[in-house]
Amino acid sequence: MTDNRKRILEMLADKKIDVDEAYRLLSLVGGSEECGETGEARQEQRKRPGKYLRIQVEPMGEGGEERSGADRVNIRVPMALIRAGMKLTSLIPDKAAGHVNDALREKGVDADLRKIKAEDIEQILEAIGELEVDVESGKERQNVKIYVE
Amino acid sequence: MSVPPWIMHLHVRNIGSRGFGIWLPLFLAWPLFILIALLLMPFVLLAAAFLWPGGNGKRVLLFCLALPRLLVALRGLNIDVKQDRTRFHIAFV
Repeated sequence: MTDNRKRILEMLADKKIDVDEAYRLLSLVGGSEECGETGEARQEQRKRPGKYLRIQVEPMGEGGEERSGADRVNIRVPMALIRAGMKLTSLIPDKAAGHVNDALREKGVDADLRKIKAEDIEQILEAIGELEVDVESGKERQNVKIYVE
Repeated sequence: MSVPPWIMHLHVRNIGSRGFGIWLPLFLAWPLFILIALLLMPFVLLAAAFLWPGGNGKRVLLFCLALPRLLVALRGLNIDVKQDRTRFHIAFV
């Protein structure tokens, strides 16, 4: 029996909620558990550091189904590679870092590579672990997914 | 301990043709890379010593230490891009 269900039954036993409310809460909890995950398990999965960053771009048809024959992208990047690459940014000489910063600023990214520290990198990667981006956009209806697994 | 990628698979194909594919046995290349690295190490140390007063010597040494980690981290990298009639796929296994 999961914690959520146990808590609901305890509240019913303590008469904090009535039968109808308990039934409603159990059905809500049961809906998520039928998918095979409890809230705690989902949180646990999110807390587990991801191993890969996935980027997928898939063209969608009119009815939302995948369109064959169109451009698509499927990239899987190991997080260790991202970590190693970001640590290398600290080795960029100051003059070169200045050029890189200027180029980033031209593209609208206001970031200073010289200020990135090791603890910042870990925080960024931890935040990426909780990132899920799902976008449907454009005239050609592309489905863009960015997530960590 | 992380293991470096053993094989690199590169495949480029135009729709309608067989395309070009190659399986590169990296497990044969790593000993060669290590040998070359050991042979170049004295020169790298010399370069680091020469650049040390300017502050870049430390960067050279740290880069040399970071490079193997970067190569090992390539394992699992998988890029699959299809554009127009061309498909490009590279994977490090």
